Amino acid sequence: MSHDDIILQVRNLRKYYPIEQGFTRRRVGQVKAVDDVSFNLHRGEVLGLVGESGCGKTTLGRCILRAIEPTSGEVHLTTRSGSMVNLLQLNKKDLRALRREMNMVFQDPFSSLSPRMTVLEIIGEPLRAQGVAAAEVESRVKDMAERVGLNPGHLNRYPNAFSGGQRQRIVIARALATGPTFIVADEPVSALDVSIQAQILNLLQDLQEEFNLSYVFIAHDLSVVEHIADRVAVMYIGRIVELSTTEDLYLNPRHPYTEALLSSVPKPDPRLVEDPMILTGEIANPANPPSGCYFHPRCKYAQDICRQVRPELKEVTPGHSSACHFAAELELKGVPSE
Amino acid sequence: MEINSMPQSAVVNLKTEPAYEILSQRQLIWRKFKRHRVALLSFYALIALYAIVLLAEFFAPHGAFERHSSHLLSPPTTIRFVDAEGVFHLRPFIYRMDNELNRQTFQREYVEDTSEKFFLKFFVEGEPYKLLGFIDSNIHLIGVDEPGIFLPFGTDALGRDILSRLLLGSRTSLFVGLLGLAIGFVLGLFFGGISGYYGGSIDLFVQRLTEFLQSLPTLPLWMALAALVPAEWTPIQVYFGISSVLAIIGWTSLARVIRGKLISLREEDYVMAAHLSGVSERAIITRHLLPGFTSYLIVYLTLAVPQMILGETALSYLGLGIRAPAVSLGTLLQDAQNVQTVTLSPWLLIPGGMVILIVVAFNFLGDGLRDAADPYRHS
Repeated sequence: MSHDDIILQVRNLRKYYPIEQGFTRRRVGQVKAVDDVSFNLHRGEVLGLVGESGCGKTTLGRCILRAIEPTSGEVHLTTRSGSMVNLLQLNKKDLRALRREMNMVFQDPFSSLSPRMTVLEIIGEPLRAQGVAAAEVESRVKDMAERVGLNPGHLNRYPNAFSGGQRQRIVIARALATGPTFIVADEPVSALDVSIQAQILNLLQDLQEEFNLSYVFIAHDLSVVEHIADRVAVMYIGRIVELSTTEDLYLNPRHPYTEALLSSVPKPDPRLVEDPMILTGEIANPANPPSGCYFHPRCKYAQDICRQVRPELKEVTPGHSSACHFAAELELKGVPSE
Repeated sequence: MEINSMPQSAVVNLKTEPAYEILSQRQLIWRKFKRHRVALLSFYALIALYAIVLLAEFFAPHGAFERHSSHLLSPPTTIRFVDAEGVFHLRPFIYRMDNELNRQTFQREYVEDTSEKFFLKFFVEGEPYKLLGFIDSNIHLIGVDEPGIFLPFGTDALGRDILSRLLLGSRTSLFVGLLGLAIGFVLGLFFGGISGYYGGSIDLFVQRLTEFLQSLPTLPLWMALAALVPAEWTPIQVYFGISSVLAIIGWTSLARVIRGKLISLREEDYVMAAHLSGVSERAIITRHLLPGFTSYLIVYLTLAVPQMILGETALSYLGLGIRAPAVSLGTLLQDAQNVQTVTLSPWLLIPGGMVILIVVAFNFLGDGLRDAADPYRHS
């Protein structure tokens, strides 16, 4: 893929939360929720973002869209007109105008829909915010509802009349209403029944192909990402520790943490009896991270250097980066993808 | 051709959905509210009460300042159907009461003069007044022909009809409550709004101010503030002044409620979704934040009205609120401040019953509204 194809460029993005104490709000430390994250996203590509709870995936997704203000860094988006703008330097008005080109699919389809608005109002809201005439809003909402598999006759109902899967379809329809090119999907299926998850994943995939969308697809397990992502980034305590194409990451993981994540994916074949790699210890406290490599207290391959020097994210093989001192030497076990 | 000739209606019927009724939030609240019988009753009672006190001069049998010098501290007139001879009359009537000096106790006593019956009549002429301040009239709803005097709740020490004064006084008290609430509402909305929406040091300052005001004992603070109201003010100015005094204390709890609601709603995913869809801040506030707590506000305000009314009553009772000649429930109760009243002329306590009635009605209404407030919560 050529450089021109890049739709999103994230450079050194950081989000630190201060820890304050007492009446005077003295700063006693900070939580590095997102720490020095950089990656590119190509047009029409799906980048999976995985990691344990609390590793900063959601914060990263929200910082990219400026739902929360990052501490520092750059987020460049290629607009429809072809120019690249740094989202973090836009003023409120310009940012609002650019909202039509990017949006978010939320994790919880219950809390992300206002209980006091009808579905028509909810899906139409981004359109109205961009100044689309009222008469046009309704017809466009109907089209979009049909596209995501909702009955257009049900649009004047309130969200409480819909099931979880249907509500997630409403959320998706709202995110796509203005015809964006870039979507952050924040664990869009983890709140749904397993039987519904596949439907929603397929819907997201169909829509991605139809509209040539680019996704940053956040998930907390690798099995969901495997189906939809072209590339996968693994996060651990605010940092990307491995970034690769999906197939390569599954076959040849280059970071011990990825290996552990892969072994935790449930396998549908009961005859495949093997020892799952159980991680010892808790995920480190991001307010007080360990020295050197953040993963070393839980890593069975850890050496002295891991306790002292923090490894940078480096390319090990073309298109496959890892933040491990022994990325090239270790023989890690992957999973053959089906 | 065979298929095409099938009746169209059959095809259409298969496709049409059963008709669902989509109710707005207001309709849902009303439906739920109607099921709370006592609240519904209180609601209608309060509407009737406000209507009656607005037209107090018409409903009152006498003028509030009209003195019946021959009837000082008269007990309530008894309405009769059976006369002294034991004959039943379909129309209610009264006897005129005359006071006599009891030679044994040396007390003035009222004795009914049974020689002449005065039948109660609708729409009798009496003391002239201006209805709603601009309609000249002298028609009163109920009364009797001269020289009979109809005093359903008795008179006070100056011979003024208690019922007429009660209606006029209730008007003052009921509207002081609303006015005080309106001022407190604006203050609470403003301080709670900036505190919850901006957070940070503004929040810190407003919250400490609220805590300071809430930690002061209410009555001494009221008294101190009421003492600031100049003595030479007209009754209307005093009225406004007292409302403001009540409001200055009253906004704090409202500000707390609004701040809390704003903080929790601000973090809702659907608010973030609106934000990410490019919805303007003003639209987020009016379409997402405000509808999230208007129902709570209505409930809160309903429950706050009786507090305001009680506040006014307490101040006036202590002689620090509304002053004579203006009439309020508090000034009426001032007349009932001594033991003598309780033993000799208990009818002076009737305004106290009115206070209870108003407070209870507002509380029941608030209860019913609270249950009905958020119809989506339970679905």
